[in-house]
Parts: sequence; structure tokens; C-alpha cells
Amino acid sequence: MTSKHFVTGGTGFVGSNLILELLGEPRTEIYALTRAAGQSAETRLKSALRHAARAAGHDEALDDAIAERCHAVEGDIHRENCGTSAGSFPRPDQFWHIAASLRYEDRYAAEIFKTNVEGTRNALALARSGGVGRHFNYVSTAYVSGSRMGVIHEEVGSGQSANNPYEASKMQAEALVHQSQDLGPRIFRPSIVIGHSITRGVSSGFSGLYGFIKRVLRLRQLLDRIQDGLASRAGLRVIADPAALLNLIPVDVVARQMVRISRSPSRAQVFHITNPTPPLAAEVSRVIFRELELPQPVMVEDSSGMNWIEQKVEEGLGFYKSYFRGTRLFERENSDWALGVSVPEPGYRLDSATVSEYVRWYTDVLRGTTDLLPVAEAAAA
Amino acid sequence: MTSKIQPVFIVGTGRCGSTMLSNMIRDHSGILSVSEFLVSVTDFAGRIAKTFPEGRPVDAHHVWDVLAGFHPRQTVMLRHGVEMDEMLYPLASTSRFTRQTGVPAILYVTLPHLTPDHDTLFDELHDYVMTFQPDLAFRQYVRVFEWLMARFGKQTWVERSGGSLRAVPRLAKSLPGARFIHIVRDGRDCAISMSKHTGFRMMMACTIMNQVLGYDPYETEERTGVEDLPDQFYHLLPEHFSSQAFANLDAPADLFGHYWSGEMMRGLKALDELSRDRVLTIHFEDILAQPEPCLRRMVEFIDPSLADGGWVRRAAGTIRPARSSWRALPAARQSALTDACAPGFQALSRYGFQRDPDAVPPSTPWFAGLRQKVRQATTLTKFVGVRPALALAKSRLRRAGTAAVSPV
Repeated sequence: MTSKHFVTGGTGFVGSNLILELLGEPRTEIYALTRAAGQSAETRLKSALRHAARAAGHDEALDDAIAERCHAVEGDIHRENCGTSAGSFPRPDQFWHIAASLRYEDRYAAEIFKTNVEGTRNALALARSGGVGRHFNYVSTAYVSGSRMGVIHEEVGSGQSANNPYEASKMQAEALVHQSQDLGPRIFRPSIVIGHSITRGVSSGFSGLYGFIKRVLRLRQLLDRIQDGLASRAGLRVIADPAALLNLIPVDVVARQMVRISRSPSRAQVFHITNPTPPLAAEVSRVIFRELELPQPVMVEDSSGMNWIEQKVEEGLGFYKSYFRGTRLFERENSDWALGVSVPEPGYRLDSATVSEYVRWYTDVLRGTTDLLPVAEAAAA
Repeated sequence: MTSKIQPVFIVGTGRCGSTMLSNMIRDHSGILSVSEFLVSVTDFAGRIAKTFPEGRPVDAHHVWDVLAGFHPRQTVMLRHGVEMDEMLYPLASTSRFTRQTGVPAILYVTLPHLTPDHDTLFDELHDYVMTFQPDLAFRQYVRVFEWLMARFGKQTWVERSGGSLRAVPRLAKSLPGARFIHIVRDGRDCAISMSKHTGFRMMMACTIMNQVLGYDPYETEERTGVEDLPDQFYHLLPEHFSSQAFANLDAPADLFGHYWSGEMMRGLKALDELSRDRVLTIHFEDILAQPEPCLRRMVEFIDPSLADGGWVRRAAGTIRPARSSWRALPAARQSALTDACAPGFQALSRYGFQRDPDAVPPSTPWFAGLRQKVRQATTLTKFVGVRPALALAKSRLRRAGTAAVSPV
């Protein structure tokens, strides 16, 4: 029997990998809400999926499945009923709401809430108007834990404070989904999603770890622009907890676990899609600094005695600072029960050599786009 | 264009006292003072590639677009009332150009520096530039300088722009006969002054924005990755520019101390690659302490036939003490600023131009030369060791030949 899935955010990083995972089941049809931005919704969707397939190491064989079993539904989560109608696609067995704004800055707060909260409200309305066979699956973030540290449970929380508008918007969206018990809601909370566990590739949306790498890279370029060689001479102090863990998880692992949980009989509603054996944040930052040919940062507890450059680095890390402060242990009881895990997941293993490969993959991409060059040289290139 | 005149550029890191020299030279009967040309036409160094396309001839329209364009950084700043102190064009409501219209680049300083009738001069210059046949950019700009020189009845010209030390390699390559007067000022005082100066603050803000974004937001409408800009820079994008954000920009002297060091390291290296007769190095502090010998040496370097004792005395009489000194800072800030400037001071020592900050220049050239050589040898040995210092000294002597120009 054919299973039908409706997906928002199918052209994004997690969404496209989820669709590739769903296509692994031969009798699956995908209906993906897609904006027509500069090209038709159909063209945009299939181009994004083919790109994601290459990044994930799939050959052209998967292109046939993309062409035949993926269908764009033109629309936009910012509009009422997502700018479409339930009659424009078959009643899905599973509804996946993944589209989101990954911005976090205060100055974008209105836009972030519009996309993440109102967009979720519109997605719920669309699902309700057409009906959902089994579940409304919402992809949230493990960082709805906000400023809370220690063990983070798989439950819809309340009372925790958000570090930024992004986290606040995801908390509100989770609450909306949780209230929609008529749709069989499930909330998936991935941690920091990185590239494919085998290819290390990322097809789109260089946020999270990649945003951090890019910031460090820009810092290096800026220092060298101000003074040749300054970056390699200026050892930096950064505020970090040496015991903090950086919960990185490869995108294919996220997609695989979400799809498997969606097919499970679990009655739980919140699932942490996180790495149970994450690397130390300090080790990851050491690898990043080494790969970017910067002196190793010195971890300190506070900003006393920092020079101007170090203070600016501290400010510039913005959102990413919370990754390096305090330790969160994400409980996975619901996820592990639903997955029936007994075999270790190789994608969890993120030692220094593996993290280096992820970082190098991204810096190679940047080199290919001249992003590693100083601006003046890039302009002349 | 006459080819007999050897171009002379007064270069420095910026905020090194070179503006004072432009004003002095303006009053010399034989020398045309071309002030802030490079900084204006490149829009605070943001349009270097467009201003000086390498190896490609540019036509009259391109030249005029560079000279008379309403360049984006200058225009945005003007509209928000944050122009440089050096700007000379009168921003009256009755002026031909206003804050709202924007002001052509060459009218910011260069033409008003020469005459109060700058608008007429601007029109005359337009008619002249429109006769240009395609040629390399530098040659076209030299034509402009030589036309101005003839227009004002002078025998030679000297260009001086704040922060033009970084342009030395490009100038030396494009104008093989070009010579340079390098004005050196204590980096700590330069850095303090830069941190308060509109032009340097804008240059630094643009440098940071360009590096964060990976493109120049003043030259393109692309805004990919703009979310990575910290708030203070977001409000310096052309579409969000706020004079308050500019005033609040956190760009302290330490940052400019690092910048000064970088400029000095790169600039000294570039100047060292030229033959000694093409470079004269003068310390700003020496001009303040002993102006007449310094000014005489400068004019003799520009053109010995233009030596003019009367001008030297008049120019020396216009000198005023520097407005700020790093020594007035609290001890901790002095220390941080000295650390930031240390690579620049080391570079000065390495190339033999370190100045004892407490020294008063001697009055006799013989003693000056001896004392300078002893000081150079001492500081060079201190920083690089005895053997490298000896090797460097031998190499410099070989290259200098008979045309050495002693630094002050």
C-alpha cells in the first residue's frame, strides 16, 4: 500500500534529507509545499532534492524516484492555509512540518516569529482542513531547552527562558503543536545538525556548526586584513566551559531516526534526535582553529583582562556562545524505545579526525567560492 | 602630458601629519599641492580596483566617472552629516552640490584646496578630461595633475592623501619614475587620531563589514549572510545607515594600533624595494621640533631648483603642536596601545627608521647622520640580532650606491 507524506521545508537541509530517506521505501509518494521563487515550485523542489542526493552520495539512480514520486505543491507557510488548499494534494498519512527560520538575532524577531510561530499555525490549519492519517510531525530543536542545563527531558517544557528569539519561537511553536492533539502530534528535536555521516556533505543551509566555522574564518581574514599575520600571532582567549559538550549529529542520522520513529508504534510525543556521545566543545573548537590555521584558543571563565579583539570575538560569536557554556544532557528514552536501538549508530562517533573531515569539507567549499579570499582579492578574481 | 616631471607622492599611514604638509606646499610658488586625490576618488579605498584597473586602458568617460562620481560611501555619509573634517567643499543650500545631491569626489578636497572658484575649475577640468584618448588609468590621472599644474602656473606637483602608504606598490609599478616622501609619526598618536577620525572609522567599518559578508555592501545590492553582521554594523549598511550608529561605532585606538602596525610593515617593505633616491623618510615629530631643516630637505627632494628659504620660514611658522598624545592615556591603555603598535615599531627598526621618542633632532647634518647610523645599528641589532643586522646593513649599502638619502 502506498504511503503518502506531506512535507514543508523540503528544499532545506533537514527537509531534503528527510525526503531522500522517505524515498528509500519504494511505495512512498511525497507532496512538498514549495514556494515558486524565481523558478517554478516543481523545478525548485526537484533541483534541491537532486543536489541533496549528490551531497549524500547517491548516484543518478535516485533521480528517477525524485522525478516520479516527489510532487511540488505550490504554497507558502506565511500565508493562510499555507497558500494552498487541502484539495490540491491527497490526504497524507504523515504531515511533516520542517520549514523554519534559522535566524536568531533580535533585529529579525518579527520575521522569526512570523515564520516559526505563525507558519506552524498555518501548517496545523492546513493539516486539520485536509486531515492526517496518522501523525503531524513537527521538527523543532533540542535547544528549546533555552538556558536550562543538566538533564533535558523529552517533554514539552514550560518556564525555561530562551536565549534568543529563535529559541523562543520554537518553544511557542511546540506549544501550538502540543495543543493539537486531534492531529496525533509528534515533536522531533534534533541538536546541531551537521553534514552526511559518510560524505560529510551539506546541500544547503550552512547554519549551526558551519555558521560558527564561517565566523571564525571571517575573524581570521579580518585580523589579517588589519595587519598581515596578526591572526596567526594573536592567541585568543575565549570564554568556554572545558566540560561543555557540543551535541553534533549528522543529517542522515537525523532523517533516518525521524522516519523510523514515525513508523513506530510509540505513543510518546517528544523525541530527542541527539547524539548520546557528543564531543567536547573545546575539542571541536581546537579542531576548527587548527584547520583554519589559527593559534589554539585559550579557554577562560570570564572576560576579565580580555583585550579589544577578544571582546569583539566574544560579541561576534553571538548565538554560538551558548554552545560552549554549560552542559546539557539530552535524554533519549522515547527515541531509543521507538527505534528499538541495540546496534550502535556509527554516525554518533565524532572524534577529532572525523570532526576535521567535516570542517575541511566546508572550508573546501568556501575555497571553491573564493570566500576564503580577502574581499579585495575575491573581487578581482 | 609632459614626461619630464617625476611624480612625487607624500605617503603615510594616515593621521601622521601629512595634511599639514599639503597646506604648506599649497603656498609654495612652484609646487602644485594635490590634496586627498587618492582617498577621494577611491571612496576611502573602497574603489581601488575600479579607479586603477590594472593593464586596461580607460577612456575619458571612465576617468570623469572616477573624478566626478558621487561615490557611495561618501554620499551616504554626507547625507547623514558625517563628512570628514578635511572636506573643503561648502555645503551651503545655495551651493551647486549639496548633502542631498552628493558632491563629486574631486570637489571634496582636491579642487577647493586649490581655489575658491572650484566650480569653474571643475567645469574646465571636465572639458579637458573629455579630450582624453584611452590610456592606462595612472597616466590619465597624471594628465589631470599636470593640467592643474599648468593652470596654476606651477613647475611640478605633489600628491598627498591620508593613508596612501598602502598604495606605494601600485604607484611605484604604474609610475616607474614616482618618488615618495614617507611621513612617519608615532603609531600610538596615529592610532588615537584615527580612532576619532570620520574617514578612518568609516574605512574600518567597511573593512569589517566586507570581511563578515564576503562582499562590499556599498557596491552591490546582494545581502546574503547579512544576519551575520553584528547590530552596530547592520546600522552602517547604506540602507540602514544611522549617524548615531556611526558615532557609537566601537573602534578604539588599540584596533587602529594593529592597523598602523600592518600598514607600516607592508609600506616599509614596499619602500625598501625601491632605490634609495626614490624615497625620503621624515618623522612628523622632527618636523614639529626642527621644521626648517625638515622642510628644506623635503623641497630639495621634490626639486632642488625650487628651494625657497622664504617659503621654508613661512611654512615653519604655521606649525602648531599636536593636539593629542598617547602619553596622556592611563597606564593600562598606554600599554595596550604600545603592544598593538609593537610590530610597526619593530618594522621601523628593521628598516632603520626607528626614532627615539625622546630625541631632539641635532642641528648639523654631519652629526645627524652619525647619530642616526649609530641608533639604527643599535636598534636593528636589538631586534634581529648581530649577524642579520650586519648582513642587512651590507645589503643596504650595496643597493644605496651613491644616491642614499639619509632619513631624518
